[in-house]
Amino acid sequence: MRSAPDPSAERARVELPLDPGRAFAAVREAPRREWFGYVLAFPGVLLIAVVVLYPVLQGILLSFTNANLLNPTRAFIGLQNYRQLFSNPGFSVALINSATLTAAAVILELILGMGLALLLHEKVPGIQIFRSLTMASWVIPVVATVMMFDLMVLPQYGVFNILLDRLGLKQFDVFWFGNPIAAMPAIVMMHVWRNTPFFGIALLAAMQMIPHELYEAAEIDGASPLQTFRHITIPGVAYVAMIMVIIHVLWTSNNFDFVYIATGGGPVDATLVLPVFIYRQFWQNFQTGFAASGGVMLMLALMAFTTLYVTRVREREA
Amino acid sequence: MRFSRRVFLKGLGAAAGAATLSGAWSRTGLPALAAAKTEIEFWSTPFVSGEVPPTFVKWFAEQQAADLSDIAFTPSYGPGAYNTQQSKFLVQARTGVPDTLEGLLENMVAYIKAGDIATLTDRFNAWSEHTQFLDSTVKGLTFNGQLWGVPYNTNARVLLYRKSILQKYGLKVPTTWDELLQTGSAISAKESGMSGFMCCTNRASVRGPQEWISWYFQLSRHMFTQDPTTKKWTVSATPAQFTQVFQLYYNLFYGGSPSAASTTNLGIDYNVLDNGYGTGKWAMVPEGPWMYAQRLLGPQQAGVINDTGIAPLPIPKGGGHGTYLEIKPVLLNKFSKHPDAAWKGIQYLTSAKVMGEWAFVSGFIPPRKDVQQSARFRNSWWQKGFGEILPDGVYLDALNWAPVFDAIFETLQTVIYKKATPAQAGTALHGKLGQLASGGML
Repeated sequence: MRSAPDPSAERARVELPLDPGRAFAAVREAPRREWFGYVLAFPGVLLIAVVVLYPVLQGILLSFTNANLLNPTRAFIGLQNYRQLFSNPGFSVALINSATLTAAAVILELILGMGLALLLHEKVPGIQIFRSLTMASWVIPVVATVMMFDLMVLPQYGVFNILLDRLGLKQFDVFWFGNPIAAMPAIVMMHVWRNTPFFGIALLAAMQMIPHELYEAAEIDGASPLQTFRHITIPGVAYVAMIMVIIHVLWTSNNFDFVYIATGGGPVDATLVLPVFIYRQFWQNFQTGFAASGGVMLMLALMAFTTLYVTRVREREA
Repeated sequence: MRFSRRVFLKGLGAAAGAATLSGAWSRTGLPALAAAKTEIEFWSTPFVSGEVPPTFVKWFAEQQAADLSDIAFTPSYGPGAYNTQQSKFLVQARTGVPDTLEGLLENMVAYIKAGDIATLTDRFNAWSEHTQFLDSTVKGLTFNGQLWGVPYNTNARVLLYRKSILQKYGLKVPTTWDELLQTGSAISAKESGMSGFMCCTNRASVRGPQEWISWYFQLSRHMFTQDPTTKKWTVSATPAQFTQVFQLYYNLFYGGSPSAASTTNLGIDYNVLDNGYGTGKWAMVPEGPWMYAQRLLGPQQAGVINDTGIAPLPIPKGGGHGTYLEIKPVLLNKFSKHPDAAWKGIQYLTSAKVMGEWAFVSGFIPPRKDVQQSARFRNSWWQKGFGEILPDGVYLDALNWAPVFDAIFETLQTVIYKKATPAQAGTALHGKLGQLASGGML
């Protein structure tokens, strides 16, 4: 026969991270009460430990060694890799470029994604087909996307340069990926082209969850469309937007293939981002320990951003 | 018992499970019920990247199935790009897969240093056909007295040029760097929509450093020297030599009015370079024999290849002929579970039959005497043209070239984007290479 739930144990379960004593008690009692739940969760936890925790821990340990892919022996060298990292001019360039690329791409994706969501929210003929088509850029493989843009930014033959020529801007008819000024904007453009529809569809889903009564009340109260957007739509999609921003900051900061295939980090390091910097250290210089220290720094930077951003948004919501 | 769909599915599941547990599922993905042959995996970038026509890959699969009684190549040819193939092999070689692989000379040196490939000296010397291989290519694959690979492909960088364009403007094929700049500039000025010269300048280009070092080899045949006792490398090149090569690049892009090479195409890689030549965007390019495959892309490209002349790369004042000699080897994974079968596979891949067909469709120079002497190679104007320049080839020393090439191209970028003068770049590169050498990175 099942007994009634013990309120103190229930509280301990809720406050688990805050009180180690109660947490221990909850864990001690758990096998009697919820053993089946733990059994069900165990494979998932084990899987995460194997595929996430183990590589992360290995990477962190590696960053304190002089490991080299061509040399089977390795030794502990303390913080030497980190000291070398901060004195490496390529690292600071890559850090700044990564931040620039991520900020520019995610802000543009959010703004354009919001515009796309508002457009798709309208009940106009043919919108269903348009909604389906918007995700096309997401389906195309990254390599194909880069190849497509590679052709479009070719001098004389690329469609963007043909348009510039027609507009009388022939002086800008250059290979964009090979131009130090145009290369980074071209990379941002590819990210925006690929990810904006995902933002749009996610924000559209959030908009559709906003009760229609709120819009009707606003209309009765005489709110302007801008006021309605600011006070109803934006708060209604804020949570989804936050999730999308976090996901895309992580993706863009970690993105390697767009940059490497298009420019290789050039010209003259104009598009050198952290993943490419780490790749070069690992696969071209074979300095696995040093490369791992770059990876750890990237992970710490992203964890710091995510924590700060989520905390800030929650504070504002509160 | 009624034979329902459920019963059928149960039976199928049980059979699949039993087959998997008993190891009767082959690496080809097909049931190996009659598997008397030992399966070996061969990684070949050209098979996947399209550098050789798919018809050849199909031909190879059919021929090996018919010719080989005790081994079979799996239809899995690796990741399809040399840098990715190198990364994957360095990580997974110890699993024993692949059994064999082909690669660039630079890759082979990395594999030797990592201890991932087996020496082939004894096996090769015991092979009755070993005398057929060109000595220069065998020497190129010999390090510390051991042979590490069997050559299947050799070629040299040459100057490919459009005969009709030079003829149209009464220009001679350039033989010196100065003539290259003048001829290139003249074509850029006269032929609408065409750049006189072009080369790879993408930051991550694999081929770009091979082009750069071809110019360097005209000044010196070595960039480093190795201490015979400590085995440590030191830089033997001078900043002045590096400066001279950087100056050539600077002059190509900025030296004339108009320049020999158009700056609007800075940052291109080999795919744009090759296709640009095939579609008539540039008149002269430093290239290799793979360009022969352009003729298969369409009538325009076929016309360009038929209009192509082959010449040695122009040389500087005081320099001599020299060019990057590519020797592509087939290698044996030291951890292969079937080393004898893998060696038989290597013998088959480098046999007169397979090498001959591969070289013929791809346009490279076969490093076997018997193949070179066959009628279809003697009569090929393309292979003859490349064959004449082959003696100018210089093969790379056995050191870790990856960081060296990275340093070269990082520095070259500062010159072609005017962030440093050629002299500053020459000094900077000398310093970087010195650091790599003293840091034991080579």
